[in-house]
Amino acid sequence: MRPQGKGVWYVWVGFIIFLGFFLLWGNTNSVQSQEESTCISCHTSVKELVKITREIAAKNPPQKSAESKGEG
Amino acid sequence: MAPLEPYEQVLIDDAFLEEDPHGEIACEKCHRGNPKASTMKAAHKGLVPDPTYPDPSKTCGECHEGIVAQNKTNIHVSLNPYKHIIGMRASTDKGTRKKIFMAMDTHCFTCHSSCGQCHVSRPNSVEGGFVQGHVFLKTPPMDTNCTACHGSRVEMEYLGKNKELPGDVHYTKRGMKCIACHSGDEMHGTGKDYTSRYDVENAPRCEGCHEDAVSPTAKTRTHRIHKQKVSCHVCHSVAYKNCYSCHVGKDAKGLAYFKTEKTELAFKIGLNPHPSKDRPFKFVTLRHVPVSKGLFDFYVKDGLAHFDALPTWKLATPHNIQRKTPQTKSCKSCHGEKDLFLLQKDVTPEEQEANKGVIVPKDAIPR
Repeated sequence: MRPQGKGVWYVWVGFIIFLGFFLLWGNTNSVQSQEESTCISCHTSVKELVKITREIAAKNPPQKSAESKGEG
Repeated sequence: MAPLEPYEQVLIDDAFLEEDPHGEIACEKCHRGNPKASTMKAAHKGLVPDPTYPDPSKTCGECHEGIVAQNKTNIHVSLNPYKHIIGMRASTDKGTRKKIFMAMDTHCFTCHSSCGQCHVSRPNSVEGGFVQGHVFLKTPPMDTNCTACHGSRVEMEYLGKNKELPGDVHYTKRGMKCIACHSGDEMHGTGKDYTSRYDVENAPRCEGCHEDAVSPTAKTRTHRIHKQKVSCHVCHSVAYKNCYSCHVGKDAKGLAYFKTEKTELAFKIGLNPHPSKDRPFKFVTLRHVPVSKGLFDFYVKDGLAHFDALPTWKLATPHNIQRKTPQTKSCKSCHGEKDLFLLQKDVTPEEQEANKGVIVPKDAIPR
């Protein structure tokens, strides 16, 4: 292999390693952001949701008119 | 349909986060709110529960641009036929029309759909809640979504829940669900603002599958004789639900209510109120819809000043098709059988004028 060809090969290897790190970093970051999100931590916990929805129902009971009659 | 427990309505399933591509999108990108907040109140500040309604272009439209563009004319979302029908019956007075449309916002327009209310959650009209832990479903399930709204008539007819009446043969014999006939393309709209669901060009048609039934050389003699004269439903439907009179208002607490006076199972053949290229028939099945002159009286007197502009017995395509029905027994089952037809005596005096175009004159009953 000519020295010039070898240089191009090294550049490609470097690029692939960089790309690998870049993708891995992006993925880790996405997982981290999901883990940090209070949306996910709360909305995947049955215990937490039962507690909160009971509190909400006690404060604001759902209201429907008792005057509705017949089929809609 | 029993509503979900409140916690079930908002519980996210691991399958959404691990397997659904939509689970890779940060919650706040669609729903806003603050994912870093430590209290529920702060986390939900500015929250958009259904980010797909009224405009899904910044959410679903980011990837599904074509469908979202079509969706503007989806009648499940626009409710254009409702607006058109009430608009035709309403007074021409601007102030009165404004009050009517405000009342419709409270009572009628709450029953719309959205991308999310078909593909993620149950419709709001049945208190919502994730169908499958926020997983996006390509095909909305019939029982949690389609019949959640289309319950009183379609579900009862199709599944055979009306007393002593059989379910639709497409369901009972073939197990066909809504999607078998009603395609995603039909549901998503075509780009045309239809004023009637019967004008939707890609809506299903019986002959789409039963091609032979409309062929000039149809195997069944009665098909060859009645083609273009009567709709398929006239021979192949059984009794279906008819509702009478509806009044809307607000109770002492300010909560919206509706009252319908009567519901009955009946079968009536009438003159086609809506002849078209696809439905040129002289005779069709008619269903009484729950409308009355005083529908909006709570909000404005004489709001429906042009009540007679449209019939209250409306073109119907009941979802209870049978191969054999009382009408298919013999020629005499229909010919001369005046009880099957909508006659003047079947219509209340205050609705005679509105229905004059669909009432069958005695001498027009086939002999």
